[in-house]
Amino acid sequence: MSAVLERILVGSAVLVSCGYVLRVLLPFSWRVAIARRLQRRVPDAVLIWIAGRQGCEACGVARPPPRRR
Amino acid sequence: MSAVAEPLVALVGNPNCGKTALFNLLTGSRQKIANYAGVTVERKEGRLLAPSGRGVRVLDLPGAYSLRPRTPDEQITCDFVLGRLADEPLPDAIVAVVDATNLRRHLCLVLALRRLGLPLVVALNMVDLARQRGLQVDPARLATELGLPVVETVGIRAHGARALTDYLERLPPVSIAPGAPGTAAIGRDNAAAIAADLDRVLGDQQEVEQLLNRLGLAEAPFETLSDRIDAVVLHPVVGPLILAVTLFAMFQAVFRLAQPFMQALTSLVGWLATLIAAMVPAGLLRSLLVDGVLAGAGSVLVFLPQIVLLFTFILILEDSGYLPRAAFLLDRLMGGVGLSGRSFIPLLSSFACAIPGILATRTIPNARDRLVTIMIAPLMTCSARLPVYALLIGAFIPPRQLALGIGLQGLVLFALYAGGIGSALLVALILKRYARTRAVQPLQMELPAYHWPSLRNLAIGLTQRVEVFLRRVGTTILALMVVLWFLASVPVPPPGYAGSPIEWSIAGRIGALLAQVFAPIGFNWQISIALVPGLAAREVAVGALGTVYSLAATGTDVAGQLAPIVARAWSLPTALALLVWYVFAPQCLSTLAVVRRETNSWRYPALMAGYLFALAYLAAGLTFHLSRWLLGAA
Repeated sequence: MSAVLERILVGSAVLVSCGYVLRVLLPFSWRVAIARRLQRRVPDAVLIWIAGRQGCEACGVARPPPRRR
Repeated sequence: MSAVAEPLVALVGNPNCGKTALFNLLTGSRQKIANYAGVTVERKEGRLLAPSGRGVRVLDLPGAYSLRPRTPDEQITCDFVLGRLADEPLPDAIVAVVDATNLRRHLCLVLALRRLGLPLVVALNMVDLARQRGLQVDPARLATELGLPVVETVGIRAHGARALTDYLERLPPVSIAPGAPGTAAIGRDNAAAIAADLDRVLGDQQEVEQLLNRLGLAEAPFETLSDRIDAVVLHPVVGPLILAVTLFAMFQAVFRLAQPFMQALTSLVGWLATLIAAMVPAGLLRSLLVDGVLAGAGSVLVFLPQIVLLFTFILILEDSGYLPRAAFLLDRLMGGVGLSGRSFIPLLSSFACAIPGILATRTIPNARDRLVTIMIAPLMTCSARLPVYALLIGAFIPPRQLALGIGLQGLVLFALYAGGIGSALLVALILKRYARTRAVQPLQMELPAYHWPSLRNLAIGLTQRVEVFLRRVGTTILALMVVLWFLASVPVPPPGYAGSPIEWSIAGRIGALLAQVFAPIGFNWQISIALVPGLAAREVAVGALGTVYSLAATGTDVAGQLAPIVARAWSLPTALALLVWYVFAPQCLSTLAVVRRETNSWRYPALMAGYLFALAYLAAGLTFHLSRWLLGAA
């Protein structure tokens, strides 16, 4: 495995983990505020991940897919 | 243009009449059910898909004895059925769930609901149990007497709600047009009148009595098997002994029975580490996988068997109906510290996690009792602390057998749980001393009939808890471990640096700073680092120790082998101090967020975090210095 590929893999894992930890630690209202700021700049899937289904439904930043039954 | 909406149906009834079991049966949900009052404290919504393909929205509401709420959970139900909630429509129909074995009490609520004027159907639940006891309730006659449709249900049987499903399927469609009044508006007007005319409790009781007379069900119930069991289990001397032995045996079994499974998981994690070391060349990726993922998340995963066993015992106690008896037995003890036995169930729920425990305090009518119970709930040993306890006990306490086959490790685990309970009672006593009102509230609690735990409930409960644990390991813990691995790996030390690379890293430097604070209580920099991610979830501390020691070591020996490493690296006083720290450890951030929500103030979560940190620091320091003095003197 090349050193570049290794760094890309490790870097991605660290970045995703940092994002996840921030998502866990930040209060709900902050996450909704961040999603509002990022609206129309990032895909809806990212907004839904940041603000959660409840946050998106409450503030209308994105339309989450219907719940699975 | 009008659209046809799915009708909204609310399940309403006294606590512990089987509403949630019916809800699960109707909607295919897996909400928690147990054999005691107060399990459901929030409204839950699901969807029933009838055989004809028609959908019905079903709402499970907390149990209520009347339409006069005494507790926050009853308030939710009453506000909903009385149409007092601005954002909530009135239900299109109410299903009044009644326990067929106790019609005398349950029918009073049905009469109150009947006055609301909403479409109402009575679900005569637990008819199988009633028949076993010789109670022949004729649903047709009951329907005539009440003037309401009555259907028989058995909430714990696979097809026990078929008659109810058929009834709900025939509900008239709800037409929703903009500006048009719905069926709810009629009920809302009526509800206002009913709310003003609630002083009819005695009248309802008399009416129920007459009704039961006419049905030939008014005779005093004979002595049941539950009564005979209670004569022993609730005995003032024998009862507390049985409770103590039950809990003691539970902790012994958790340690003993889990050992082979834990060893198997440890070997699996070790084998995976060796496999990765053989397949991935030395470098960043291998270090991330072995030192971060396996040593971190893997160290927590190996405690899965103990978590499963602990919850198996708790679920069996919950489903059998023993838990309310334990609350009854502990009422005197709770009364001694100014709480009532009603605090017992929330505190017991906190053994799984403080969050459902804090939510369960909604069943406590007295606001001050509720607040005190919330404040002490994190002192109950949640399952997240079990990996920390198990790691340290496994590393420092020899697996010696004492008299009567009692294991020393299980005894220490029992003592730690007892320490949590004792400190919670002590804190409650102190908090109540400063309370304005010191009156002890009498305990009024329903003691349900004993029954064999349902295998289905047990399987569902265990699956859910295992899912929660695995999800936590695979998400929060894994992510935290990757971040910690990164912080413990950068920057790379300059050539010729004599110390361990981790000491040069960001995490190493943070640990050295924190160690200044924690050194007086015997914690080294590795423990100090582990305490920080432990704020997200307590078991993360074990994973963090795994990652930190793995990066400081060579090879792949740490993955799954943390216990012997900490046994070599720490002194006994340090291990004891860390154990005591975790008895009081400041709770995780999610708990603080729930306390904020439940108390509607930041004051109480701040107070909770402050007092628990101070208590943990003082107790750990005291343990460290006392044990060092004792061991030095020995």
